Amino acid sequence: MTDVDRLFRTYNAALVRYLTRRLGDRDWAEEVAQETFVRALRQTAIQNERAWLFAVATNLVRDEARKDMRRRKHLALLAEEERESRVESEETTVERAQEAAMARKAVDALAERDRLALLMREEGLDYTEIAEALELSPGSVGTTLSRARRRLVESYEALQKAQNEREKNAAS
Amino acid sequence: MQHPDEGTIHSWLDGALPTRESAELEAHVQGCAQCAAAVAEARGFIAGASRILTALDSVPSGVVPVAKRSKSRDWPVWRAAAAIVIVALGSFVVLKDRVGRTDQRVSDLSSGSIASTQTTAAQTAVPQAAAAPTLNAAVPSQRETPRVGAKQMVVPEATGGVRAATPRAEPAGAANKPMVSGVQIADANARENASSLPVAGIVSAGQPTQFSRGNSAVAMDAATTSSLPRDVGRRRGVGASTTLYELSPGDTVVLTQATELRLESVAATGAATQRSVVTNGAGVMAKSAAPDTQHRAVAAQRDAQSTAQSATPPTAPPRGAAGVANASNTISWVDSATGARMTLSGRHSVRELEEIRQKIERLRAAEAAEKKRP
Repeated sequence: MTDVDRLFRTYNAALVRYLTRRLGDRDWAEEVAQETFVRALRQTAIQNERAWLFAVATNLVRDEARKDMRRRKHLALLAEEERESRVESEETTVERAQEAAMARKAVDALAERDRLALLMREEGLDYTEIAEALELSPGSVGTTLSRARRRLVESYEALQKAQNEREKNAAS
Repeated sequence: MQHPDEGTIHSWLDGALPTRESAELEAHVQGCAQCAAAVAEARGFIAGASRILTALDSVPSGVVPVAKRSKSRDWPVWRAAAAIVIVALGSFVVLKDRVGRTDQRVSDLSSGSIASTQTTAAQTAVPQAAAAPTLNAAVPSQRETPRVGAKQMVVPEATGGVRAATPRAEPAGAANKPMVSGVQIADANARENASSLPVAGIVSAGQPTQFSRGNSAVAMDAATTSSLPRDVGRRRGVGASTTLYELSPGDTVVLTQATELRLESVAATGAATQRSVVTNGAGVMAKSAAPDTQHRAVAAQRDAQSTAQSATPPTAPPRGAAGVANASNTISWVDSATGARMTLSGRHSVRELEEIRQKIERLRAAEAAEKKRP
């Protein structure tokens, strides 16, 4: 097993999940993850593999040209999702779609650094790795994460509350 | 120790604090209600954030699902198309089979169909002479004089439908009386119907004196073909059930259905039908005792005819008018639906019985359809 094979097997799942959550697009996420591993091939020595991979992936996502191109597709996807959630008769599916939409909204409302730190943490990166990947001081990761979590939960709850009120109004 | 800030609490819960700091904080939280509440809140945020992020995973995977979904939407269309093709192929096979069998019957049929085909032929002037040889040779079950047989086979083909030859299409013209076998051809020719036909076979068949038949017989045939058989009685026995059909008052036929199922018959339905018809027909022919002189006359005419006649298998001897109205005849076949051996007997010619059989089969099919309906 080559080094890249090992890297791929060890980190691909987490990286793709992280990127998917970050981008809201699994295909795009897989593409970025692959590109990340390709870059790892060219690298002679990587100190902290996981931190390096997540950092490279995050930088790739920041590539504006790609983002712009993909954003259009992403918007198309969101539009499609919205259409789907309207047509879907199954209530659980609608609920899940609503949840996902609200989660997406809440995550998007976060500051980029908070968001990335949180997503990386969810993939099991420790504070040192997150600091390395995001070029933060290790001491600030806790603060970044606590802020990200609080804001995420609070904005999600606010969205949920608004949704409930809309439903109540629609019902009455 | 001071009250830890939120970031430190998260670091502690994430296991990111050094061992010593972690122990200090743990000790403090145990004795500080405010910090214990803060820790509980932090735990809630960690769990909540994690749950919210998991909700993102239910987002379908990206741009591709659009294409995937459209593909899945196409599925019913393809399925419907496949179903249509299968049904079409199936009905083609069935229809082909039926048409084949109908052709077979047509060649065996007589009354009504001859009269109708004659007029049709007269009007359309189809190239029957050319088509006759092949058809004549190809159909081994013809029991009429060759000319008549050729005409019967050709006309429905050339006029584009078996329907033209079915009893329902009886013309209301001069030849409107349904007739049986070559005798009726003569009869019709006597009415100067066929004399104007451009087809050699039919014209030469117009020998009015050859086979003339009593008007009463013709009238009886007319009654036979025009009225539908009526089911007047049934009897079920072991191995067979018998149905009595009344065609007209006092004129009955007996339909016997063997209820045992024979695999061989099922496997070769069409062939079995044909075989049974031929065999029984031949048997009846032998009984019908047509005068030898008629045979010879017919043979002579046939020799003088086109290649259609020479193409007739020599093993099939020229037969006289099939069936005599007053003799009791029997035909049998294998029912294609049930595989049962059916026998129909009555005081009719084999051709008439064949026609009656068709009517009875139609009647039975209608009954079966009625039964199926809830």
